[in-house]
Amino acid sequence: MRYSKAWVSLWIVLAVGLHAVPIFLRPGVQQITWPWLTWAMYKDSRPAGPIVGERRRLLGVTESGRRIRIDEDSAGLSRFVVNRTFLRPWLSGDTTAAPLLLAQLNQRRRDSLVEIRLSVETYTVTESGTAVRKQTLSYEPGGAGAR
Amino acid sequence: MKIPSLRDLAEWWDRYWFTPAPTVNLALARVLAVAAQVFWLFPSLDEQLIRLQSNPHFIHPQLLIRLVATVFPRETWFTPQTITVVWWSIKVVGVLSLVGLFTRVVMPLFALGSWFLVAHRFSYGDVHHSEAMFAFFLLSLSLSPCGEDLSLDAWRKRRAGGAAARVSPLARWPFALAHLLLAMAYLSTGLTKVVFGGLRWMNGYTLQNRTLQDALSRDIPLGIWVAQQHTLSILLSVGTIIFELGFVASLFLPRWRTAFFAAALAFHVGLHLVGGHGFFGHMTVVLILLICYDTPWLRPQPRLAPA
Repeated sequence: MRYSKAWVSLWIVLAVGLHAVPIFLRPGVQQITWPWLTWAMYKDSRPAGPIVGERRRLLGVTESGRRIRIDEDSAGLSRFVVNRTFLRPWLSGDTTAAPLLLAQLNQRRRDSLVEIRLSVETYTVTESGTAVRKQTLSYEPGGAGAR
Repeated sequence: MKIPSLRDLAEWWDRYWFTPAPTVNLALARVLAVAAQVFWLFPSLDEQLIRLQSNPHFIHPQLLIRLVATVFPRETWFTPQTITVVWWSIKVVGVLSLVGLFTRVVMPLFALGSWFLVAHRFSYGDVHHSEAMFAFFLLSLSLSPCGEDLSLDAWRKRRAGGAAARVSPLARWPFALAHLLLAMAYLSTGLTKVVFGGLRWMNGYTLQNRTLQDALSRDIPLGIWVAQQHTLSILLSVGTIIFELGFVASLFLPRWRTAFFAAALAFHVGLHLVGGHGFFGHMTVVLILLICYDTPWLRPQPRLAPA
């Protein structure tokens, strides 16, 4: 029993103590010590003012002419990574983002995509109400580039 | 003030973690946790394969995956065939853990296998908190006598004329550790909000902004509505900070523990309904603590001797 307690005590100390590691290990960089993580999500605050949020939808046209809604997970990356790596740069004018996204999406598809569209609805909430602005970007290889 | 001696500390440690407790609580926790993992929270095979096949290499490999890949290199071992076999093997040891057959062997394999699958999923550029607490709890259970009751192992032992332990000094610590880790996580989240966000975190606008973004991206009408309610958002922000900073008190107020766990469950259900934050692993751990941790309704009953 004493032997078991020693092992269990070691595990308890590790489970608790190793939580200090991700705090000191490359702070601010992607966490790689799962399940020992820092728990600092949603920590930042923002001042008073209009509340702005976006709803993004990724659509595509396949080689066979079908129009489909693209699930970001089909890129083999999570929604967060797709947003961070492709959608945000595309929205901010990076012309390489859309071709890279199309290539990533087409990797495993039998019916390849020949065009992708990013539709963005921006909601702005103020004291006087909620306004919605819509914007669509599209990219077709060989076309006029991402727009 | 008297400084506690090493002996005093060792006695305190022993009392805190190793007070004898009924093994039936632990066994029920095993059944609930393993059932939740096998039938609900188990990482999807499709997702494992899509991530593996769509990416020529790991993006930010987790330390556990780096460790595995050192022995079994990605190019040769991380193939769809191997991952499929590993996935099914973990599922099988999960079912064995659930019924409690060869529990001492299969339970650690199941816990570590689950760790492997989640760590693999999180090696492609993003990592989330939702599975972490549950992963610790599964591994803790696997190091405890969780197969001493409600298991085929216990049944076999009784048939062979032996008696499974009904009370054990190792039957309580997995709950106490899960409780402590939860308290640490909530305290850490609350403190970082106060330190980095300041009192402004409770101005309502911060929560409205977060909620609107989350609810829009996940199409949650309730969240979109909440994001437009300023006064409600102030109240929810204050409630969040009070809960996250206050949960640690449950470590020192055992009589109020149930109320704290109920509040934690409500907190996560609320987060899910409003922002789509699927902390189902957390919810499972909290629910298990509510049902099994020092609860009066799970006392060992006298058992009839085998015929």
